[in-house]
Amino acid sequence: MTPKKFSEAMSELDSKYVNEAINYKKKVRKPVWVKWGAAVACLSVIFIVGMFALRPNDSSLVSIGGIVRDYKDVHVVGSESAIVWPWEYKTIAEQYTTINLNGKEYYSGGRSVDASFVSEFVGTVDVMGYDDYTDQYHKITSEAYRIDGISEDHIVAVKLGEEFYTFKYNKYAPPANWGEVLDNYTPEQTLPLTQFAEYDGYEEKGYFRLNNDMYIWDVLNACRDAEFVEDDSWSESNSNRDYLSFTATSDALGIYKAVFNVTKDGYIWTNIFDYAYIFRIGREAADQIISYAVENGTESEAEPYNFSLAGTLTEIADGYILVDDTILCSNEKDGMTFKVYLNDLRISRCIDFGGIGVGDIVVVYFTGNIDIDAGNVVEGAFSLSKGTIYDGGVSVPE
Amino acid sequence: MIEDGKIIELFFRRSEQAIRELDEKYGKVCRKLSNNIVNDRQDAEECVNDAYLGAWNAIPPAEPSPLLTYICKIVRNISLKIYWRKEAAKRSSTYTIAMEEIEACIADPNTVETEIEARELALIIESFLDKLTAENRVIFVRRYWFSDSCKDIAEFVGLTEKNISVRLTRIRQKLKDYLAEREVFV
Repeated sequence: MTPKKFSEAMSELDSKYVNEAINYKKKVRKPVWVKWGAAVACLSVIFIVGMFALRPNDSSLVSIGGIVRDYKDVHVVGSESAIVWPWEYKTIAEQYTTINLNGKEYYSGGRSVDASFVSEFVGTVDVMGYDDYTDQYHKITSEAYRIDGISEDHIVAVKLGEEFYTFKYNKYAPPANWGEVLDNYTPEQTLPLTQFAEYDGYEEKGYFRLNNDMYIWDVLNACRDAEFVEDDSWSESNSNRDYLSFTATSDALGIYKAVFNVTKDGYIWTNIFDYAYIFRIGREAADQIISYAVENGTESEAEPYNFSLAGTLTEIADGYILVDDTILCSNEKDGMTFKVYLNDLRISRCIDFGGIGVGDIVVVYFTGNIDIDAGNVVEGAFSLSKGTIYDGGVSVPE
Repeated sequence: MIEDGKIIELFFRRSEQAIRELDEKYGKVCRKLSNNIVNDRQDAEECVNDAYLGAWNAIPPAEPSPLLTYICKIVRNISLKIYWRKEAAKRSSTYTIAMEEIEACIADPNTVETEIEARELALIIESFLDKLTAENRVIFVRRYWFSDSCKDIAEFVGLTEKNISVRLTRIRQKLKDYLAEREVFV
């Protein structure tokens, strides 16, 4: 049979299939973070209400990078945007995203990996980038290396500038069983499972931390035969499952706050391989992991996906900007000014190209702390967007 | 926007306004569908105009409902004729890519195949589609009937592009097994 014959057969399909494909209404999906807990969070929105404790007088205590602020009962939505940056405004990791190694294409997610994880040289590679503005491809030559514990058939480290970045073979080729994951990624070394949240269905029961995950890996290493489950609707039939949701952050695997869930009914569900993988480890193994974690976990605070702060952009100076949060404060006299340095292209381009100016309400996303001694300097700022303040009410963005 | 029934009424009255209304309401969808196949805006425009002419000649007596499905079928058929006539291999349209994807699923060079009629194959594909979830069925039809890109399908059904690509891989594998079970190749 030829594709042409197949195509002719498709032309003969009953109209009901075409009707269905025309009139299909997309499902309103619960955000992943509702299903799978706080480990996966909404990137584009910050909820200022309710991160700490709601207070009766229409105000809330909110933690901004560890600093407690008394804000009005409002929330700020960052207009995060899929801005396509011109080539010169992209970081090198954003510019060069594809390599071809041994005939296979690997893609970068832009995550850097520390040089200490990098091992043998694998080969010299052309690293390709695409400029959306000029419709042109760019190419540089660089070196690809193996990452400790990880098969180069799946992930390699590529040197861009002074840093290494993870590039993953992107083709969907799920393993037959959990044993293949153990062989290809040595997760015992590369994936710490020490932070988790406990869930009863959608109900979150708390956040916990483990001192070490050795026992968990002992159990998981004994589950080599756990078969891969291919079921697109598995996670949708999930509201009644009880599970532990481990936060999966790993430089070596190039993942940040992905999830690794162990369900009481005997499954592992994880998105660390880009697409959801499910393995049936059995109730006994799941019970061993869950019982150990629950018994040995100590309570901790929920960690947001990223920290963020909002306020009015009051000054664009040479090398930094100032953001004042008075507009959000219950008492205007309590306003604070935060300093964000422009020495990171991801921030400076928002001012130079992103159309953000003095007087705008802005949201700053950051990964570090706020250094009060240095003058409320926001550390690790990586994105800046315009924001909108909503007074009261609740809007749940998609 | 004018209701389908009103457009059909205009066709029945032989009013050329019918074509203008049809184009205003469904022209964009039709051009996209055609362009997915022929990958050339001018060809797509001609295919859509030919489809309108086809509709003009067929209605009446035809009284299609739903109208969009009907006109899409005409657009697809005409676009495919142009596609196969004009150096199909050089077009690199989404249709080309979709057909390359499906080729691995249906071609078996090691067997001498019995020629199967398109209608017979269509019935097998229909029974296969009936076994899929509605969402997966829509994804499959959007890809191999409408020749939509994964990005377009992702937007349409509200999933990620990666998710669509993975789902299509799985569906093709299932189809391959389904066809093999029914010995479509031998």
